[in-house]
Amino acid sequence: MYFPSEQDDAALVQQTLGGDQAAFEGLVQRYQKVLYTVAFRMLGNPDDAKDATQTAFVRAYERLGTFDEQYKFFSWIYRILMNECLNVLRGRHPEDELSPALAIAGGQYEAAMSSERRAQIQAALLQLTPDHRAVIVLRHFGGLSYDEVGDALGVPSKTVKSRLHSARQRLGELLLGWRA
Amino acid sequence: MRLSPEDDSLLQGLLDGALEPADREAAERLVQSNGDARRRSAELVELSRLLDGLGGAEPPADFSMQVMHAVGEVHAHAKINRTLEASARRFSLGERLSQLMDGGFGMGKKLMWGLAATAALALVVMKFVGYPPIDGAQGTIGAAKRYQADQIAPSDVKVDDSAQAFVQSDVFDQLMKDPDARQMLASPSFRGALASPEFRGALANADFKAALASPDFKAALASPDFAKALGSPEFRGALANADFKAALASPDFAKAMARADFKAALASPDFAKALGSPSFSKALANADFAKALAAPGFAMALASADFAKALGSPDFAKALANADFAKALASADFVKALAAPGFAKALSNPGFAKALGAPGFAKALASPQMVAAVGLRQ
Repeated sequence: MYFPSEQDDAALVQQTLGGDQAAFEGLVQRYQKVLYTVAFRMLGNPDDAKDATQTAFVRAYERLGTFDEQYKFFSWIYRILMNECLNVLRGRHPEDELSPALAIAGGQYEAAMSSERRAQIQAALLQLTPDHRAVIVLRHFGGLSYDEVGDALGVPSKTVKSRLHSARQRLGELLLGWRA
Repeated sequence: MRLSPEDDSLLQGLLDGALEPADREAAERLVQSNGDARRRSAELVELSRLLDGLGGAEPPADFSMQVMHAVGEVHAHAKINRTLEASARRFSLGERLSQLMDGGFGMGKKLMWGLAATAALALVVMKFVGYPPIDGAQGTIGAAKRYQADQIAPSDVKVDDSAQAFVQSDVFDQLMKDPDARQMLASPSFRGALASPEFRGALANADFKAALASPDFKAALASPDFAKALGSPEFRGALANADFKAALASPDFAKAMARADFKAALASPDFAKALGSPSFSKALANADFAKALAAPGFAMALASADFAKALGSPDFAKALANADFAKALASADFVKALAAPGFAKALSNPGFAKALGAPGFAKALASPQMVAAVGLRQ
């Protein structure tokens, strides 16, 4: 879980807008791990995760002038990241879609974990629809609240809850043998 | 007993810590009093633990550095766009532009062009073809392109340090105000030429950069014909030749390029082909030959399609490789002969061109008497 300081974020955003690129690096360092984790769980391989995360940061930098400070920076950049991840998933041809086995084998992190169970979990995640995967990933790996997940995905909290319920049900069926 | 959707939602809210105090108490009561609720709650907790067990993933160690490198490129590109937009606005104000063009460059105009022309080329290259192709940067910017191959975003553009410094300079701002430069940059042929590896390689050559710095070269660059010549494969090939680049830097060649007839000749495929030959490049390195190029007679000869064709022939190229022939070409009399329609036509004759390439003929041409004779006969 991540507990960023909104005040710190706002200050770094302001400094960046004032021409201080180093301030943006502060934001990168603060969010790189959690964003990369989210991207990795969404996309299933480290290269795509790295690309998507980097693109999200670059897009955020490009559009920082449009960032509305009444919102949280991390919600905003999560939204950018999720759009990027969903674009990547939409751009994949069916034949390019990673099989669960490949996704597991391709991840250095997963290899390091070398746990069959963990590999099964990642594989199950990749079997979810992108919408369902997104809510699970943002909730469990991003540590976002329903409202924040809704902000990141551009959907109401009610939809987040509904999707979470369906996604968990599906994961439970895949991983724990829950009845459909 | 199965749980109602409302109860299931309550348990999920309890798991996520998303309930108001009253709802949380209700959920806890449900779990205590209802076996199905207890089982469902336990299942949700187990699933949550499974997911949490995956933990976080670590980005590459140099990830933030890569991101900041990409951000730096975006920053530089934004500067380019701002400058272009600002210049375009000013350009629309004719009076302001005239003022800038007439007096704005002042004494520093030549120096400005020396820097600006070179950097402008780099600018165009990086803008349209992604220059330089730094392997280490592929992972940063190329990555972003992977899924957007059909469009170029600012972040896709590579900018090296020197180019960044340039676009942030006043020199760049001044360059953008120059209509000649703008015309040159807008030429598809010119942009195509810049996209070639040969041109990019030539940019690293001190002689070529020196050539770019000359006002005459600048004037030539503004010519559509010259831009067209630059775009030819032959000219690109010639740019890879050190002798040719050195020749380009000579005042005589620059002087030649400033002339309309020479620029028109450059647009000829045959002449461009001739330029691309190693022999021509070598001849260009000969001060006498370069001087001949600048002579009005040579320019007149160049205006002849036959002469241009002859220049492009392998035999003429062979002749050019001969120092004596190149020297002969530089003589005033021979240049005079070249300008004669008859001689140009004769040059286009394969037999005559072949004769020119013979060592004996070349040697003979080196004789002042022969040269004079040739010139007189025309």
